[in-house]
Amino acid sequence: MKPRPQFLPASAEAEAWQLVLPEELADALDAHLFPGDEDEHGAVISAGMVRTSRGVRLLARELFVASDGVDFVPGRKAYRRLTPQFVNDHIRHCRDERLVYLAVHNHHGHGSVGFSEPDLRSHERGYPALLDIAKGMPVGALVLAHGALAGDIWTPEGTRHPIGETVILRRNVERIYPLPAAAPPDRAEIDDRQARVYGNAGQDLLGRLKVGVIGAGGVGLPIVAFLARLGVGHLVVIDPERVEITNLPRLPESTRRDAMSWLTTPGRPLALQRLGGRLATPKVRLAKRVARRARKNSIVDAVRGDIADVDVAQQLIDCDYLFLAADTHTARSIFNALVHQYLVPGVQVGSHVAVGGDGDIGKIASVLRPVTPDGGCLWCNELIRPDKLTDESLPAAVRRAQRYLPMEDAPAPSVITLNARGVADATDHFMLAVTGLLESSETNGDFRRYETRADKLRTSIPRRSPDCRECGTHASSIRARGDGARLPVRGA
Amino acid sequence: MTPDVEKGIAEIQHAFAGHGVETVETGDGGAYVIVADLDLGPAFVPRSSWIGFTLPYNYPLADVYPHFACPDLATADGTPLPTPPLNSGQSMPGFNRPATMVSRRSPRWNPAHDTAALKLMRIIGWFAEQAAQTRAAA
Ligand SMILES: [Zn+2]
Ligand SMILES: [Zn+2]
Repeated sequence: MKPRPQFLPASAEAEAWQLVLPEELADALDAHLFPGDEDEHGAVISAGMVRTSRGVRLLARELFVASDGVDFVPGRKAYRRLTPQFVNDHIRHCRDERLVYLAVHNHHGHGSVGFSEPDLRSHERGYPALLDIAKGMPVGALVLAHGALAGDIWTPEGTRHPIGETVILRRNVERIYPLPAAAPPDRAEIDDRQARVYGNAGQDLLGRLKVGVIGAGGVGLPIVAFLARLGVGHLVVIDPERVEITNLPRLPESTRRDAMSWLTTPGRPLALQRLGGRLATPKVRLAKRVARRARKNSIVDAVRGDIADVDVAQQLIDCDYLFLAADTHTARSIFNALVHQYLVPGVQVGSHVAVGGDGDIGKIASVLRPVTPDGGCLWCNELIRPDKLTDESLPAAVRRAQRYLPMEDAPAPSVITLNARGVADATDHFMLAVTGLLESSETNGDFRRYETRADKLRTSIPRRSPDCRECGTHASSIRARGDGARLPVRGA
Repeated sequence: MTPDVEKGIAEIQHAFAGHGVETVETGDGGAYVIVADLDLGPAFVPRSSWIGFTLPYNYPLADVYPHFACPDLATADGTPLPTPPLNSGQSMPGFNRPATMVSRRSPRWNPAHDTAALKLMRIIGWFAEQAAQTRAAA
């Protein structure tokens, strides 16, 4: 028999893990634990897991409330406890689904919370045996008070981790801790004006965030510039392309030199044009230059690659927020999967110019679609077309061969000013949501489409379908499964 | 192959038991698949053909289309092939076989319910329906 690992006592040195709660689960948990009776209540949460160099995040997937007096009963050694039957049912469920078992109860009070001595003794008595049942998955406990959460997570490797920060994905992203957060550092002089909007705490938070931007073109590049100037500490920018001369009017700070225009200009020998194309600046390198000029100490991961490749998509799994500024259905599908599987909120942004068969310009629209685990799935709103995914999955040569209808290969019309609204709306939404400044929506929903020529703003409430394999809460959805599910990327 | 692509192929082997099913990996997680000896109904000659298609790496999010059948496919009554969806002079990728392409997109494809096996049944159903329409027209 394998010797049981020796557990270290919970200590301040152990690496703290992060917990992410989607809004509806957090609301249901609040309603169950704090019905206004000032008593203690219990529940179990199952959670997926993400492990990266940034640390470990637990992603709350399901909530199982324990009925008072049935599943949550008076105990000899503790005030109340979950019954062995309730524990047993749910630890087995978590083992089978490869999820982390988290026993939850509440204490009273506001703003700070911690396990009691009897709580900790019960973990020490019970968790080694639960780990045996969980067969390789961590197990643990959470305790909540109003506006505070503490955790004690045990791993099969014999380590024990507190929950340092809990992120609640509401319209405004909330962050709670075991103790009131320490006063943020004073802001640097450079941030004086902007921090007057969201405070030193907001500025400090922005500096600790890792934000992914998919696409570094006419929408993505200005977003990178704005985020860097806001003081976002870590940016991951993804784009496979290099700068071309026709991009220059929409790429701030780009030059003819980035496009190698003296080589690529029509009339040059084809070999020189191709050489120029190969020597042109990758868009992500331009993005990094733009970001570093804004903040010389910002971390920028410039990823020249295709989001459909697993190594590229993996760079986004531990982001705090995502911007989708690339308009392929493949990018939409991977972005949507990242939001739901890894519980990373994001926003899709773009502009579109309709062109009629006769070349006439039709509607010009700027769209903004916040995508969060509880509202705004691109699948449920028919914004990802399965047939386009098929087309985009084919090698270019096969795609050309299979085309039997003439399809226009003409580049899409695009103007920097038309992109500007989407860029501003998306970065505003992000800045307000992460610093807690969004007001409750008086409009009819967070999906926005602004028709520029008509000067008309249309908003809509995103639809949600319960059988969706990404945002659904049913057994086979990828929701909150983290490393336990596959992203829809290339590679077996 | 991805687990979803493997599952899609297993469903095809189950639904078309008795028909030869050949697969070639696409190299990025997907698969090219050919199912042999399928009955296309009386509207076409030859009446029996193989049908091939690709399960993309992101199946079942991605639709399964187009399909491919034997290259010499013609209508039984000698009228021109309905184009689209049929296009002769094509090639089935992965197998490099000359083929007639059958291009039927599924605009209502739902990854939660649709499968490559169901789609193949619908394609066979489409061939059979052409016979009914030919009879109705005659
Ligand atoms: Zn307690
Ligand atoms: Zn959905």
